[in-house]
Amino acid sequence: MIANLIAPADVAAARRLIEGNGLIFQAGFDDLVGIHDQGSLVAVGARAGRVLKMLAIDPAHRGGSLLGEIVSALVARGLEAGFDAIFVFTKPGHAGSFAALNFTLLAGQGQAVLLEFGNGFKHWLAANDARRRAGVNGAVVVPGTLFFPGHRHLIETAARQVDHLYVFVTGQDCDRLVREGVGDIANVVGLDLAHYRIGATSFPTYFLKPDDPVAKIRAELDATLFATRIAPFFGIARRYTGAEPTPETAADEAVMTPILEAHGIEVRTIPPPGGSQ
Amino acid sequence: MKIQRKGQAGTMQSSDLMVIVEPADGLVIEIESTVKKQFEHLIRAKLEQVLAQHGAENARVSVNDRGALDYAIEARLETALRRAGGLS
Repeated sequence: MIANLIAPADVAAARRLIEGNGLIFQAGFDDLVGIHDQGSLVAVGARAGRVLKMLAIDPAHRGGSLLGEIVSALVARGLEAGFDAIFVFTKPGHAGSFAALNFTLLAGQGQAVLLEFGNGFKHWLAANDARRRAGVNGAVVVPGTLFFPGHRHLIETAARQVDHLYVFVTGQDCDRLVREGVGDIANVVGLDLAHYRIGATSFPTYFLKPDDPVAKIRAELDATLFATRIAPFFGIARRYTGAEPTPETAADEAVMTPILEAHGIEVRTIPPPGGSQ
Repeated sequence: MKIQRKGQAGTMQSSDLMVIVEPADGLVIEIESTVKKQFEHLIRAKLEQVLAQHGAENARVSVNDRGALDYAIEARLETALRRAGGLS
């Protein structure tokens, strides 16, 4: 029987179970549900938007149906809340448990995997099928929801070097942004990455150790998703990066480059206008 | 009959299935199953039979199955259709 854990005593019990499983309890969720056995909490899980997290089962109650019950309840609520795809980020060793619940592995690296319930990724590819282009294609990922002047230069320069340049944006206003920002460049194709960009805000860290290199793990997972799932579909041979405005994005790129190159995607950096690099 | 909104039923417990029915242009059936290799065609046939029975023609039916038997497939799909506003 699934119970909502709302009362402070219930949340405290959830925290004990989660921490007892070697995970970190992190506030910030839409649902926290659990299952009791003879008055004590034996299974728990949380949902924040489309992401499931802090799933923990008491060691004496493993091997049964509890994980399925918790995940069913959380997925059902996520779908009711209007999310078409539900994610779980977890340790690679737990990928099998979720695969058995019909989750699909989207990407993995040494310490983290991303699995999806539903056909969200397949539907996203299908929805963007008309934007696929043949030829030697490049890609630029614009972080955030607006173009900086440097992006304009980056996109102009990159577009001259490829048959088609995909400009990936995350946010609802992708088409308008691309049209207004670089709509005059004929071979630019705007694409909304939607939730298939793993950003710092969407990446839960409950299953990692406090001293793990969280930013690096997230960037590797994001680069792997791009290199193995997104780039092959759109025929992307090159990824362009430009003058990076913040140290964080510069660090992301250092992590990303070897992963993309290992998957046959060339990484080219376009120096800023007037720069002497 | 017309699918008016998203409807879902079932769980992802062993021997059960989770069905999600949504409005769509035409009929689309998507099946994920732990026994997909052996039984996808039988699951699909059962779904098509129930959908035809209720005259559901414009729906996307997504099924996540964990080895459910026929009667469970029928019951879960019917409930999802009902919740989607397709059955009175």
